[in-house]
Amino acid sequence: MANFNHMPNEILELIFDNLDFRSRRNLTLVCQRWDAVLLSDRFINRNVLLALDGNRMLDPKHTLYRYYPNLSLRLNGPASSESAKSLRTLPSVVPSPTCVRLHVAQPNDPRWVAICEEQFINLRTVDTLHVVGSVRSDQRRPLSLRMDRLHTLKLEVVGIEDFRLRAPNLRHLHMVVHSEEHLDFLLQFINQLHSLSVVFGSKESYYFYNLKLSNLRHLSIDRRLKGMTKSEQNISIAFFKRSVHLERLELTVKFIDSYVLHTIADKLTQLVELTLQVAEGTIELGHIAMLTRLERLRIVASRVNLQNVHLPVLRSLVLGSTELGTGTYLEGIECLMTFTRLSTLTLVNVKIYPEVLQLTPTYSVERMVLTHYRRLEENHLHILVKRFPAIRWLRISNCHGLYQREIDKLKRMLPKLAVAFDEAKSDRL
Amino acid sequence: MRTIQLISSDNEFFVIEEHLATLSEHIKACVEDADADETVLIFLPIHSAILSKVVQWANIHKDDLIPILDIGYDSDNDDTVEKCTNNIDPKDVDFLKDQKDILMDLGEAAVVLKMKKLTKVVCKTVANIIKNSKSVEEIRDTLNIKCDFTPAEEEQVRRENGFLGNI
Repeated sequence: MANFNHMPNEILELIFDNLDFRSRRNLTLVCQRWDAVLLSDRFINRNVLLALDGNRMLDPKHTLYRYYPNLSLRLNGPASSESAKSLRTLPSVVPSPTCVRLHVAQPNDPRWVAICEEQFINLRTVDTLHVVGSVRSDQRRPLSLRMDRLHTLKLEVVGIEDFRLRAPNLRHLHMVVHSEEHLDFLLQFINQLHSLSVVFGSKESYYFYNLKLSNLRHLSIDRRLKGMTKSEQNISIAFFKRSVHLERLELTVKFIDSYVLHTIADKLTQLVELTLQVAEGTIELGHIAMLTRLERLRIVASRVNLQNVHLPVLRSLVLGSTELGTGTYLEGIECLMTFTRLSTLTLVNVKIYPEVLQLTPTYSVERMVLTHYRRLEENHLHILVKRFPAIRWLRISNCHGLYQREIDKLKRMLPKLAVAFDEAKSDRL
Repeated sequence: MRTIQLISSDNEFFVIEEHLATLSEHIKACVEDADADETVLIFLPIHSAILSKVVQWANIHKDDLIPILDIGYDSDNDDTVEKCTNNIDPKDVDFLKDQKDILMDLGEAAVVLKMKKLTKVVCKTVANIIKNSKSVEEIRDTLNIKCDFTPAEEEQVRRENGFLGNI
């Protein structure tokens, strides 16, 4: 038997990472080294979240022996004097948290007011804050917070007009926008942000497009209920014209007008990564032909046209998504040959006419991932593989109508090809 | 054709196929500098008994070697399947079933060679052993660990643990 006493700490950590709290709790009793690893700052930092319920009292009989930097606090249910009393012991339990998640269910919660006055949590050491629920308060003046170390903020809240934040080091912001006040809130950080992710509810977003995002590198906009319509054409185009520094863009909309797409792509020539998700209509890649620096591209649409485009440094292309029930219909797949550096191709739930595939082969693609490909039949697969002669790795998963013996046959035909195959669980469609 | 030879700590040679090198970041880094038809010799601080097992494992997995370096979309992303120990590949379960004695050494070798997948599989297997043990004593027995606590220390740890359970 190998001697587990000499196991390096790194491996021990990796092993314990796989265990949940329930199976981990008694392991400190095994030996001193296990105890030391399990209770080291690094391990606790990575794996332990101190989840507290604001309505339940912390038992005063116990003192915490260690320091827990990750804190999650749920404040639901009415505030009682008891819970306030137990929360008052929090600073002694968690003297300097770094990652805090707050769930404030009720508006006008006095405990939220107290947190803003730094009664319960030492906010100065927090670098990641995530607030869910309501920050509304019935105080006469808005609540204000000062957090010098904060660099990542996630807000999924209502009533933001009652909330002020000073965070000079904030770099990453994720926000669900319910009202124009949210955009007012955003406005004060606009010049310091590196990455911004906004999710729009039903509210219109004209005002958003008036913002000037001068330092932003990564932008993600999710407004899947609305399309990029003609009525806001000019304003959104003007917005993207100002955002020329963007390196990564993620756009999820209901549909996008081809003129809008064309004009936006004309301006954002610095883009390295682009994700475009639309629920309706066709995406013509010809419109983004100006993005010559693009290395990674992901398109989700019910129809994608690959014609009239040349992306010289594109390395990874992902087409389709499992979320799109109808699948993605690809047009002009023969034009893939113009992407001379493309090495990885991922097709998720796509539809191609096999006869189109017999046209000119694409020599650059080395890796291919096929998932959720409907009715992938053996001869269809053979055509696909022949279409990409340089292919060395192929992964197939969740493709109905394809079985292990057919894969074995393919492997015998092409011994150099490495195939990873997961047989689809249910039967042929 | 490039040949790669691994040399174990007791001077045994293992010739491996080139594409197996992609499984190990360490070997990959060594091979990268070499010319296309050179023979690469790599000395490893690993005993031949263990190294042969590693090569055997690599041969089992030579088919699903898709490097996931710059694939934007990956179906079994690392973060989403964390803390789940029952998703070990059946091939690996078979492979490691009777290898309890060398499990530890395999894990160390995997770390030295920077083989992510093997490390993960070994760690999950050990985690399963720990999970299936009923008591602390049983864990010490199965993994052959000596208890180095004095009774007073043990009592102290037990007390602290009792509190952890209440949160």
